[in-house]
Amino acid sequence: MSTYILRRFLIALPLLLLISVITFTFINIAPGDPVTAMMDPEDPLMADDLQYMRERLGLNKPIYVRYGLWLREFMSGNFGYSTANGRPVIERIGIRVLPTLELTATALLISTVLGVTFGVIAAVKQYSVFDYALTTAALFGISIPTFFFALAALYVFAAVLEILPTFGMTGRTEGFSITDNLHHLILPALVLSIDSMAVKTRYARTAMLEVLKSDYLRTARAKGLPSYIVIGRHAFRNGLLPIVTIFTLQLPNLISGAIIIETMFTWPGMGHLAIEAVRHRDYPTLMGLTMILSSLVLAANLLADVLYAYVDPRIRVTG
Amino acid sequence: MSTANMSHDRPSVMPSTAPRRRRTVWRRFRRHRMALLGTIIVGLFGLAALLAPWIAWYDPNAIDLDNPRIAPNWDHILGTDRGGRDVFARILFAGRVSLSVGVVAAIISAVIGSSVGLVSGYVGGWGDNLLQRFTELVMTFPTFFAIIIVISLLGPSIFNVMYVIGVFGWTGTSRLVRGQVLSIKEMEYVTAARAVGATDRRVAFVHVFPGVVPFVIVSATLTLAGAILTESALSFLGLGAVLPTATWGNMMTAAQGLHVLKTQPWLWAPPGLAISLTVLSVNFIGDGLRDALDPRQLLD
Repeated sequence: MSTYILRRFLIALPLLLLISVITFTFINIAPGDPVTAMMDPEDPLMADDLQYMRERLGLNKPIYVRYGLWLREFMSGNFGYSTANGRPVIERIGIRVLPTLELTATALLISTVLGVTFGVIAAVKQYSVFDYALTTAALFGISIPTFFFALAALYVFAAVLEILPTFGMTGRTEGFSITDNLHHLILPALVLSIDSMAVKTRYARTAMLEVLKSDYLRTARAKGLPSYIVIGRHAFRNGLLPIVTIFTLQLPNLISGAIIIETMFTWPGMGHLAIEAVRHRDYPTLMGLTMILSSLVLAANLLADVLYAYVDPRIRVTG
Repeated sequence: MSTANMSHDRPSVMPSTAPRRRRTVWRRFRRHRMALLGTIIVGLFGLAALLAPWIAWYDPNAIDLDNPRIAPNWDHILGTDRGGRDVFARILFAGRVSLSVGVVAAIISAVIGSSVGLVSGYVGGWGDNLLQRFTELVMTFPTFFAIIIVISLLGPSIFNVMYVIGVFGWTGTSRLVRGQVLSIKEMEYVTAARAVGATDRRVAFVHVFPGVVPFVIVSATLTLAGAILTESALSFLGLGAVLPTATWGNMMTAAQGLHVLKTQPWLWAPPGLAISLTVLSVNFIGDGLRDALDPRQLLD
């Protein structure tokens, strides 16, 4: 098994490199660059300044040279400087990591716990009212756009009922209060978790239905084992496999969803930074964000493989 | 059936049973009530989008600063927005844009995905390996983030949105198609066809491809749902169609302010409901298709 994991890990690094090459190329061959965002390229009076700024930012060197420079700096931990506010990119991204992590981790927790629970309930009580209600709710969950959910939630809880805040991570200007933080966290995390939760409910239900039909379960019941052991220990452990798969497949979606949620709730995370960087054509920040987000996705896939091997003993032997 | 009608020169396993299977599939789809409801709703929306110029009695882009932000009334049945434009008309015309973007993007994804899946599964070996690594690469890009970056580089326009969503959305279909091709390749009728001397090309087109089509269709409905959602999110963030062109997503951008959110719900609720209903219906259809095309039933 460890060779399997090692192989997956070794593929990840060149993949990351390839992603950096592709992103860098794409960003730099597109029309418009940070300089034209600052100054009007048509204005003849600005022509010399344009040239000067280009040279200063190193934009006039050939692309492979620029990539090489970027790579060298990147490897030594220097992500460059943001063209929007001049701060080091690491710093800009760094202060946003924890907020995004807090939001995403909470949403992940909520969506997994509730999603799997709902799915199992729906499967165990198939064809009952619970099943139809949960299945339909799940379908609604994946069909309604996240930002519409957010607007509706904001409408109900913030505008009409006025019990939850609408923006930011905290209402205070200094000091940290965990209740205040949680107060701000509930709505965004809940809305972010809905889509994932719905998908997990559907998958968990399908997985459990498959397992519930199997012979070994019938044997367990025939042996006279109580229901909760049959379902809790036997059914669940075997149905876990597809659930683990979907758990990891959903992680990139959570990151994408965070982009929208953070923008709508003005949550100071990486998603919000991404939108800002895109608006300002802040290439260094975008490169930094791409690398970090891609690494996260790759790490998530790797985690998936490890979990899979752990949960399914067959893979450990053949893998 | 007289022997004169039987064709001796081609293996008749799949083609002659195809019409009967299609009827079975259709019958099973019809039994799925939600899928039927979904088809009706999508049909209605599609019709409304097509006939928009004749249904709406206001020009969706006509600015009327005398009547801004009016609540729904008998004249403007969904009210007006900040420029006095009729919301109902805008919803109809926005439907054209949102639906067409979704459909085109889904088609692009389906074509790319099935091509990659077919070639990958059929060729096998290093070609398969290469294509799979490539698919993995595309899947590793955080999709929405990548789409946002590409759109910002190419500039906001509905065509760019169509291409980008299509180009990033094919990985699921390709995986599905490849899996199907791999299992079909092992089937007895393929081995039989080869034994009789069918060429690779013939096996591919006559035997493998028709088996894959139902899965592509189901996958395409899912991609369609996702494409509509992605397009609306992009427009909402200002990265989609440019104003004054309405799409369901960018009609909701105004609601980002708390005041508008609270006092003018007719601006953001109708487009949101339109998107939700459409995607919901497409998902119902997808579920119905998936049940109707259940492979366990197909291989009788």
